[in-house]
Amino acid sequence: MGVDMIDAAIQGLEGILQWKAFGLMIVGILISSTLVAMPGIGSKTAIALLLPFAFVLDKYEAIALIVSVWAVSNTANSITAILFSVPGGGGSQATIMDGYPMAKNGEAARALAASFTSSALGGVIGAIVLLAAIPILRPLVLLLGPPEFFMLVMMGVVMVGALSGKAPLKGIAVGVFGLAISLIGIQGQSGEPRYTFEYIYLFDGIGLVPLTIGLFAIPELIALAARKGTISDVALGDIGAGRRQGIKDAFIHWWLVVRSSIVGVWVGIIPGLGSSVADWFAYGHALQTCKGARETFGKGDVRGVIAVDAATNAKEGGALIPTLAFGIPGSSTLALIFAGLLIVGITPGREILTTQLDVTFSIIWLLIISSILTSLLCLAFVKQMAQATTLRPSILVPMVLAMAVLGSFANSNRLEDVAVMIIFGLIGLVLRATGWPRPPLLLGLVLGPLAERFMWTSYQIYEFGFLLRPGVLIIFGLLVLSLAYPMIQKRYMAKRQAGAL
Amino acid sequence: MRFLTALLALGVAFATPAQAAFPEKNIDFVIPYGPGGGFDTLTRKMIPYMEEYFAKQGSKISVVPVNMPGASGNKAAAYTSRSKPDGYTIQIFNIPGHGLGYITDNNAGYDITEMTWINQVGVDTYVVITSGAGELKSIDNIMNLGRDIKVPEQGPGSTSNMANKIVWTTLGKGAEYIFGYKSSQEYATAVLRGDGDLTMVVVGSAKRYNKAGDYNIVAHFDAKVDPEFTNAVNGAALGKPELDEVNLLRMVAGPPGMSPEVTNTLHAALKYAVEHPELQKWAADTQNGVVSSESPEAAQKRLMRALTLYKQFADIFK
Repeated sequence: MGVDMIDAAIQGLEGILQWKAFGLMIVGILISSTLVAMPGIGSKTAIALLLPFAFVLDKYEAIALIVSVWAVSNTANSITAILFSVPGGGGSQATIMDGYPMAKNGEAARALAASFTSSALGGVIGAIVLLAAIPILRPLVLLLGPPEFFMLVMMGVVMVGALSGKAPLKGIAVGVFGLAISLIGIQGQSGEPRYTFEYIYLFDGIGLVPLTIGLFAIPELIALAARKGTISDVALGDIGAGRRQGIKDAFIHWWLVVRSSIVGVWVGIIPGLGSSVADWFAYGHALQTCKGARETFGKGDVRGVIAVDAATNAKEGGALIPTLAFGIPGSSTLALIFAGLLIVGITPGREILTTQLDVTFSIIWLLIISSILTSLLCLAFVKQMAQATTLRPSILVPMVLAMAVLGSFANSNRLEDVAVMIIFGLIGLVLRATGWPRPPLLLGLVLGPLAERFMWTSYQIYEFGFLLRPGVLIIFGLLVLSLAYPMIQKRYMAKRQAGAL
Repeated sequence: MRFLTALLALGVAFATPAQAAFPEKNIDFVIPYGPGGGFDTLTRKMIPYMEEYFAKQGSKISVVPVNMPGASGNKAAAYTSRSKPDGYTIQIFNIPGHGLGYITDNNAGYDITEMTWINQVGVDTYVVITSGAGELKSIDNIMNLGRDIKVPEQGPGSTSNMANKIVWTTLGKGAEYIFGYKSSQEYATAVLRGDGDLTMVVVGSAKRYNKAGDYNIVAHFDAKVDPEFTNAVNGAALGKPELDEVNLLRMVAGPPGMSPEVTNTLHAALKYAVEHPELQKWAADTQNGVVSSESPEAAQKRLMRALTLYKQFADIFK
């Protein structure tokens, strides 16, 4: 790091630590961990509403307010996912997988603490990766194109098997059902509507948020109301100890945190993959690589929570890479932040990496400081949050149901979204009762259109030659390795056990 | 007699609200896309000034932005066209995007020409960009390329794809479109990566890219080329002045059959907003092209001129 870079780093830090900028960062964090944490209100809406304030702020103040809302929105999103099986946003779906079973086991405090801590660590790692990438930002972004993206999506498809538990065939069947649902809507390449029956709501396909809420939250709510017990099957015990254990868990599994964060950063760099994929990729990665995960994941394994929340927060650092390198926003939320930067006279692109490097550093510092502060804030309220799992169903069910309906409705402000929630609530109920896995349905729905889009674009550029590009072959190698790894691991363990005997 | 008096009183009671000044209640301003895009930002910028205008006229009402994304904007347009023509539901439109149904004689669920046009509020011109590292540094280079050009794009029917098709058909250059990029940011990066040769973006984005220095700006289709684009030519310089009419219009309309009084009031509020010095400064700072038409009739004429131009190319959009 040259002297210029150190100067810029100090200047960026000083800019953020000015009392007004720091205060605005706290405002951003508070908005993000309360309003944005509710299902249905995304950071995008919050930033769109805050943008006009940028006109009266200086550059550090505007960055502090706008970037902090976005940077930490994932941290608090896990609260409702862990406590009620209602995802707080697109990136917290996989948190449900082990977070909610932990809450049912009376470990809500531990799950929340592990989630917040790994989220802070993920945020910091994402920022460090961004920092390390500054000299190579530009070639890095140009390295991967549609063919490589297609192969990365295929890596996600392979995870369907892993997410299916002991019933891979059922998993594949449910995944294909998800894929079939994803075909509804306007086809991107031809512009032709598919299975829309001239019904305008279906033109954009089935909404992911109402579908997820239906699939995961509604069956749990019905089960909760039916058995008349609380969410937590057991007494909560010492919440303070649970919180301490959760924080410790994130540090004990530091290597998993680092790996998942890197998965998150990569997903962030790829335009169009988005937050609804990062969590599943990280969950799948943990499931494939953690010892004994196939037996314990889905039943309340803290590693499932840690991996997901580290990745979702680290993703933001990655998403900033194309934005800063070329002035090309990596997502629609970043396009809004970009607009905010323009208002205060900063043009992302070469300028921000040379003459305005202090701005880049102030963003990196903000990612680090706001991640840590948000996690501390959330950790302070773990006790109150965890107690929600001991509430009577007569109080809890109507409250969570209202949250679920509002969250679904906010998808496109149409009643059809609530209908989607109800329909998939029933489907989820049947799947849950008959022991069919639900996550592959989501994966099919999310990955189907991405695979189709990247495959067609790749074919249009290179025809089938795209399959032989070096990047594609390398990712294919990794894919085979990730498929074979559990088998190799099993064989190695068996050999070792045999040796020990 | 008593019955008649009662009937008369009832008639007066019903007639009174209709005679009251418009607007008496909040106005829904429909935005056919999600929060954050150009249409959303401009609408949200105009709203406070519209409210200021109405307040000055004695109506303390709110104008409520309603984001209704979906079906390339058609979901919102179908909704607005079926709303009551009372002035309490208006929408910002994308021309030619919302005109595609009319241009290609396809039913989009509404008739764009039947809407009540209130004001034109913005215009964005198009710019052709190529990779700074590549060999295509001018329109001549492009025309002399010994093969069809490859153009990364969002998808068929997108406004920039329509502009691209008109430009390259008119100039007689074969073009192959690579579809599937989600946004202009994505296909602009695709040009840098070498997925294709060139693409078209709106002038505001082009100015930012020009500043960043990664692209060649080879053409700017406007009556006057922006002075920042030193190597760019326009349609007139290429002997095709009609190309300088190919642009993206942001226009505001209400449902078919709105009364002239209500239309004129809304026109005045929008004109006040667009011409407000603060909004003009914002537009200059953020490189957004804002402009108000003189009257609702002028807006209607502007729309028809654009649709007639695009209609000539209907075959290539089908």
